[in-house]
Amino acid sequence: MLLALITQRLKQQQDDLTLLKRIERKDQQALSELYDRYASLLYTLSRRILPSPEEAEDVVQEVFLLVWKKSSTYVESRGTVYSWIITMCRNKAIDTLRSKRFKKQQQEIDIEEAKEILSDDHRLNPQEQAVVADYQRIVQTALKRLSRDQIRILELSYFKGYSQSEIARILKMPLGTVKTKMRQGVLKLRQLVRGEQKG
Amino acid sequence: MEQRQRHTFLDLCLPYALGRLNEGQRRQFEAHLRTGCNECNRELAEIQESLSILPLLHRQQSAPRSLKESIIRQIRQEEKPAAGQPALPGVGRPWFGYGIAAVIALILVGLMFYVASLHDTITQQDRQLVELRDELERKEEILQVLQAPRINVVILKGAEVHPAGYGKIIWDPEKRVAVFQVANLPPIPEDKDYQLWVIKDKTPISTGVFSIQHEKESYFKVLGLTVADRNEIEAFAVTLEPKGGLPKPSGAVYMIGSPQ
Repeated sequence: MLLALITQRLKQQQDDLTLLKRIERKDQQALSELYDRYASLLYTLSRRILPSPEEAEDVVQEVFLLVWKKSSTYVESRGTVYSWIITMCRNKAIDTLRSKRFKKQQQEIDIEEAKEILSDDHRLNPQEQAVVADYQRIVQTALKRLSRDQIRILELSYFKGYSQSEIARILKMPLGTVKTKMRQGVLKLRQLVRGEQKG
Repeated sequence: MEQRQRHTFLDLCLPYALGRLNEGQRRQFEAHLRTGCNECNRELAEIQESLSILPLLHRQQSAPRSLKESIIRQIRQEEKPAAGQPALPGVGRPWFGYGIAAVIALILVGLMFYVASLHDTITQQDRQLVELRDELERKEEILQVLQAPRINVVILKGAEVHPAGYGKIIWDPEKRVAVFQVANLPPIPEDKDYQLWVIKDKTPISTGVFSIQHEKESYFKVLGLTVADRNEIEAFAVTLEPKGGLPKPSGAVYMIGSPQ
């Protein structure tokens, strides 16, 4: 099972790399294919960070234009194409969020909603489903292995760009507890990504 | 000691991945990554890979159909500059038609300039807010160093190449963090950085890079001060180096100062 998962993820990275190489040669069809694989994921991510759909669209557009112009700056030793694109999108959206000071209202994360969401990928096209399916098992395991607090802390940091002190204030927890839970949460995610999960 | 410095940078991988480092820390960390430290590059890659799972915890929303077309259109526009514009048909149109079209075009152009200028103003104000927030975070960090129970201070004076330069390093020997105050150093081109060195046993050890945009006083937090014992430090020095710094100094010395 684990071998199959790793093989699947390697194949995804290989496909992404091929697309990126074609994009470097200014192949518009390759960008179109990469878009089909990732647009909804990036849009979902941007919408989770930014309240305005227009701004989320702007971020996704900016990311694909950056991929088009700067595909040669991708360094394979620093992670997969998937995480490169997701990281770029998250950082752009967070920059927009911070500069627009949207921090007025805190959006609480509902883990029950997250669980329900997992099975709900029917709106994705086949290319997107393939990408999501690669990680689906990890995500399902993540929800079982991480505590509610760990997920909330990670999400407040990742989707809202809050510092650990801000999260401590929001969740009314000691700063030390937030730091520990965040470290543990990241560690568990890393174990899952490395394929070290036991069940 | 080398081990200790690498650990300082390892601890920065998560805040870097989450975009929580200030400008100075970010530059120091990126300069460290460029040195090719396998441990930090691998750590960062794993953290980014792990965090990139989080978007999958949420209900996937389809991106609007028009977005793809918009991206492709923009790429085509950038690839094919104005030369590809089709000519307007000019036969059989009454003159007043052209007049109305011209007036509408003028109004549209005027509106576009107005909206663009408003957008610029808002963007500029947003940027200022972000800069102010970064500045505040930086000052808070500096205050933390200054509040340490025991601190050391070394004054740096401008070297021959730029005698007006002035600097001060204040460091907490226990936590191995320092604040570097710089004044009167000339701004440098984009492909250069100033690099701070601590000299021990006649060997310079890099403690980070920084740049000066304006010739005014600046403060930088120095992370991973490899040598923190005052008795071991022979001097601090600042040189001008290629962007990102070098493992050994190669450029002119701009400032130097010794604890003795």
